[in-house]
Amino acid sequence: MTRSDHDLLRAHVDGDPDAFGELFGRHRDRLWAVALRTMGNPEEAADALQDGLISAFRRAGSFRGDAAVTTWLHRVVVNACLDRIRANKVRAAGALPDDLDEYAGRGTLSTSDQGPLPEDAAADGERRRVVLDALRTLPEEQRAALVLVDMEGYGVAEAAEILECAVGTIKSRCARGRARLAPLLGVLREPDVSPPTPGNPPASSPVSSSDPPRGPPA
Amino acid sequence: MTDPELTPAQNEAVRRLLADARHDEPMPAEVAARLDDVLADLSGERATSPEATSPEAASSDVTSDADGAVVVPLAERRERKARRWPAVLLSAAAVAAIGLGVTQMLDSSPDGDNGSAESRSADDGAAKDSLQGEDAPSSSDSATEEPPTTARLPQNLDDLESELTSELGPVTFRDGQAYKADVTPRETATLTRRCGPDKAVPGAWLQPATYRGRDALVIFHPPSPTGRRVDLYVCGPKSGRYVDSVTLPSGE
Repeated sequence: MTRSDHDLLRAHVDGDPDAFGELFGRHRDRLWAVALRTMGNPEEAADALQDGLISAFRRAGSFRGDAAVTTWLHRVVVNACLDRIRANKVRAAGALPDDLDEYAGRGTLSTSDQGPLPEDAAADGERRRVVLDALRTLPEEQRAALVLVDMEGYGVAEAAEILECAVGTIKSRCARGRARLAPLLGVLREPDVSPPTPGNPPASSPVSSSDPPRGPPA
Repeated sequence: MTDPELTPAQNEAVRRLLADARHDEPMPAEVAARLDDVLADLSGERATSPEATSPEAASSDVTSDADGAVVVPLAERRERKARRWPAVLLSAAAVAAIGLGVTQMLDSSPDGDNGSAESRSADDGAAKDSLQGEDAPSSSDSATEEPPTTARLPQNLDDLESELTSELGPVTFRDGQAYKADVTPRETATLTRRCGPDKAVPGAWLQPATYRGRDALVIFHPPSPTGRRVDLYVCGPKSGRYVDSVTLPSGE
């Protein structure tokens, strides 16, 4: 019989040596995705996920059961990511990273708001890279909100639970984050960058009317 | 600067681009293996300290590191590996650390209340062995001969500690416990088994330490023509978990 997430967490707290591994195994791919998109590179994501794993393992007893276990796990991992991002900022203030070349190779958006995306921006890989680069320019709270809501598809209510803030705060962070991303992604300059709901298709010919032309008002 | 007001279509365009950039791949095998290893460590830790996940031990703050959790800092490590230590400083620091380790061990052994007479004697012999070809007279292999006393500057240990911290992360040496790897005193046998590599490094010096709040072991390999390798391990339930290495100029 398959144990629920709650059962596994409880079993872990009660001393079951395998329960936490089973629980984490169930959700690790999605947690990885969140960490990867929040951190922006795989090595930082792995470190942050490891932070979160250790924290969750050791603090399982603090889980009060008023949220889904997966929400709690995401909260732990996202918090670990945000901690790392903040710590990196402090470090970066003191010294340039030695792997700057590697990051430079990924491209930045310093020029992308000066003009439209390249003609081949439709290529998935390139477009994804530009999006991820743009995402990294956002404040971490906005980034985390967008990763959860727009990338991972969480509802704003669950994202609010994960990030421990009000629903309105999530909406606001998402709106401001998207507004910041829009020029970086060429959305403002190129409305055809692929708006998913383009509205009415352009008319191929003037709309004809069966009504006779009206005369001027009397 | 005010953020632009997006039209609904622009808003949706951004959302679509973000959704298209979501990560759909499973966790890479190397990351999964690493996390499995961490889980094994945590489980082993808990076996010896069951209160680790109790509500009393936990707090509502779910951020990391405050509980002393150790994280192998891959990204930090990559950054650090590109840097070079100043050779002179490293050489001096390595010599000072080893010398101080010997001093501490010798100072503590005769008065210690944990070790057996055999282990103390073995330590003394080991001290001399280790000093040969390093930074002490290469005069004797007699276990009964009075070991050399060294007048090293303890503050240099701080230098080494800070350099190791700079290279490997927050390493803090424990006081007075450096000992020779292949003549492990009884009181440190468990530590060596739990914190060191599966296979002992012949001729190495071991310095108990803490790393990011966890018990750790710093292993000074014997000098080689290319320098002296220093390994950092954190303690695990059965054996140590390798964290990182640096190579110091041997200074000889």
